[in-house]
Amino acid sequence: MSATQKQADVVVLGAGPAGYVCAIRLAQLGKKVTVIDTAELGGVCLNRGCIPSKALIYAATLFEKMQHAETMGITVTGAKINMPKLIAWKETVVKQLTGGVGALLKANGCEVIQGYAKFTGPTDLEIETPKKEKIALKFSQCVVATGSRPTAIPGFEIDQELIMDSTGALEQESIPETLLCIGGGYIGLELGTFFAKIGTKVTVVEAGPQLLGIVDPALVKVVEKGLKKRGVEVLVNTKVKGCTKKKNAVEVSYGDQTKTFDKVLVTVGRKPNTDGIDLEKAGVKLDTKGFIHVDAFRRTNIPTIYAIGDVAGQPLLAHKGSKEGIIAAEVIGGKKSVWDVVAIPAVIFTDPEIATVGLSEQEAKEKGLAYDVGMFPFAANGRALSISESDGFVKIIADKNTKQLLGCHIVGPEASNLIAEATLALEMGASVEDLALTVHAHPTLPEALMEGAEATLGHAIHIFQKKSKPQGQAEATL
Amino acid sequence: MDFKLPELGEGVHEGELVTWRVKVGDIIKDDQPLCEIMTDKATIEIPSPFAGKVTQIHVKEGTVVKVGQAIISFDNGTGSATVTPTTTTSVATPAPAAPKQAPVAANVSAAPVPAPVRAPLPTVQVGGGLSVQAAPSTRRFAREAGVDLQRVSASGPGGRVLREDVERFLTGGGAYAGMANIGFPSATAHPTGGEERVPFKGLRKKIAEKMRISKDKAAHFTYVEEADATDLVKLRSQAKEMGAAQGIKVTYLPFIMKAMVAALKRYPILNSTLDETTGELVYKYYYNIGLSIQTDDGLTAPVVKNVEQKTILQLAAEIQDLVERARTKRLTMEDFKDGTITLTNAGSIGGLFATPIINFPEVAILGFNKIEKKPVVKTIGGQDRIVIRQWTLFSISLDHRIVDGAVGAEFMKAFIQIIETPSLLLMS
Repeated sequence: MSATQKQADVVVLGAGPAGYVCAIRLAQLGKKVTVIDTAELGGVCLNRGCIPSKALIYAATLFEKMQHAETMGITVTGAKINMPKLIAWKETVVKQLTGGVGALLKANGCEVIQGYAKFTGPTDLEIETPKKEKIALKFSQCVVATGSRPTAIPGFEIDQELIMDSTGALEQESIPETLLCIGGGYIGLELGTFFAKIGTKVTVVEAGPQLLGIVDPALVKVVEKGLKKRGVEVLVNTKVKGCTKKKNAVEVSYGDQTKTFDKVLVTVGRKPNTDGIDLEKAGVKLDTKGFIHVDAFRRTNIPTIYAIGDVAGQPLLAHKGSKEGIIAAEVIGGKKSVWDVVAIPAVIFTDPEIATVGLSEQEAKEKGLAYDVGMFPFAANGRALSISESDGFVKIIADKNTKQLLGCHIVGPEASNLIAEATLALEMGASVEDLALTVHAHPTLPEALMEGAEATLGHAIHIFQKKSKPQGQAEATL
Repeated sequence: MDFKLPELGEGVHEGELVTWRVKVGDIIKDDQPLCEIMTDKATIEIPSPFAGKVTQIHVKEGTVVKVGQAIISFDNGTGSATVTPTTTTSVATPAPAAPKQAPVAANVSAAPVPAPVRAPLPTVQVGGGLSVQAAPSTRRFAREAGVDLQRVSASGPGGRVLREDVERFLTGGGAYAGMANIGFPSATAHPTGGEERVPFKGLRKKIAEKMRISKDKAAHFTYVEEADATDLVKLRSQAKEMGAAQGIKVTYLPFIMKAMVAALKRYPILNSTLDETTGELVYKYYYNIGLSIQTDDGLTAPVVKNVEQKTILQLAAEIQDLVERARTKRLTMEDFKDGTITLTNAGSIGGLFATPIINFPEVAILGFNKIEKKPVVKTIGGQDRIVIRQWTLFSISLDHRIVDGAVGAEFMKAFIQIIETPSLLLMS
């Protein structure tokens, strides 16, 4: 079958949070944009990731709070979860957002083609539509934003019924009695916490020595406490060996035991969608892990091809992809734009939430920096107490000499929202004094950041800090 | 499989291979350091983009290698293709000086298709906190104005560069301040390399003609001398505050102009022209100093007239006005008339010193270069001590048909005496 011939100015391959943002900015800069995606607009983030999981987590948290409302004098009886209804509500949230993306692309004059695209050269793509029609598309520039997908582990074939990955976990129409989460990373813990909150007995096995990988152990400890409180069994340094699928259950052997679970959730990482699109025919080089190598302008080694989002490397975060999308679009549009981001925040929707930005204490140590640490517990924050969520703390890392903010690490209520202030501070090159001297409204959670900054300087108000030795005395004789 | 030296950084085309970290027969891992390359900017560790066994080393330690030159071969079991470097280079020394400004990538049009060899450059340090020196809006402002933030002196707390600092750099710096477009991909990223033809016209053509005439007629020579600018830096920072109160940006230029006038009065030949039609030297006892200013279209040199009659603040205000009008293309013919000598400021970008081309038919052009702290040996109380001083170089290009080397040298001596002791300006 001969292909239809088409010409495009700029093609954006993939309509996830990197791709659609890039397309809109390109259109704003006067480019004629063609967006290609195999399925729904919005990518994993909107359809099978960030958004639906947060909707479910919110609902589960509300359900859990109802059950503990008795201490506040609220008696709730008969609260139960209707899973099909919950999933349907989540779908409406997703649809609203993806519909919005579609409307925005249309309003900006972007052409959207549904289909599977493969490179046939450095300026050529071949698209196969769902109706098996072929389109040969010639472009001036192409931005690859094809995202990533969950990694599988051998022996645990994903069927989305008994053994599921994150996609399947968001579509369950019943509440499993028991669940095994393989992988104690952020996706496993977020979804594991969701199931624990709606009544599932959850077990988490992690091959590494700690949950959540490189997150500050002090923060992880608080989340572990929360998991324990919800009856979640956590096993670190434990590898799964294999499984046998039974009728309505899976028998899994891990460590030195074998147990049967209603469901198994595999979340052991994600890999870039750089295979299957014939990037080699365009000459685009990948690194050893399959990511596309890009420069500060998000250009690949091929002058006509850019890459953004998960395919362009770590961290695999939607907001990093969106930022890259804007940069690539502006570079293509002739603007002097470049990746000069100082800090990318990372948020984890466990209970309590974790949010971090900038250097961890460990990284500061490894870099050989002289630094100060300030900690402030939410137990000393009025707002946290009044919403009955006082677990956790703010930890601030600052340069010992200049007092410049180097990193901020939060575990506690609304950590995901609180991190924005610290991110702005880092991006502005603020010192902890700037944070400490800024008036924060009372009674609010961000006061904990101000107090954390004060603690770094040695004089937080709402915790007692012993006076340290007078400053400069030790260093006076240089 | 050959591995070629990847791009090392903006404007760096070669470096000395200082040390090999691997030898023939070594089994190397992905990302393992291969060697250290010393450039004029830093020593850079080159990591391996692949795993494999080293089969051959092509370059001896101590030799200078060019970007793109094959330096090592290894076998990773995939046959004998050439490896495009796909790793980023990481700056090894000086350690804290991780790339502060966005790295600038190689020229797109130089990359052949379908197998271009263009290595990515050092990625910007992310999550460092340390690399911050300006707010995001200031960084964008500087980027779009073509200013390297590292060259801008910071007035914010903790060495933070403020938007005003960038503006001051742009207006006060004079020549070369707008290094627009360097390294940024062009608006229409050339799809498949090739070339482009752009009409050579306007200011660009004018500059070309003037430069050619100057080089054809004048017998150029350049003389360079160093100066201790510590007192000048101090004086200027005081004047800066005074000027700021009146909305005037005080740069170093008014002081340098004043010092030039004082020295020109002693060596008036530098403020002369040769009238070739009458065969006479024309000495000028008025001091109209041209100031080279880089604009988006090219170099231009409007004239500050009667410098000898004006105060520092008056000069500063006049320079501010000229720079502003040059950038907004509002200079008139009047602004270019009757120059007697020219001052050019190469220091705002960097470099040790420039050898400027004379603004013919003038006979001299003075180059003002960057001021930076340097360790200097001074005799204090009869003892030699190393002290930190604000140091700079001045270069002067002269028309040897008219000015002899010795005269130029004497002029510079008189000029630098005032630069080093600016209070002498009170005496004149």
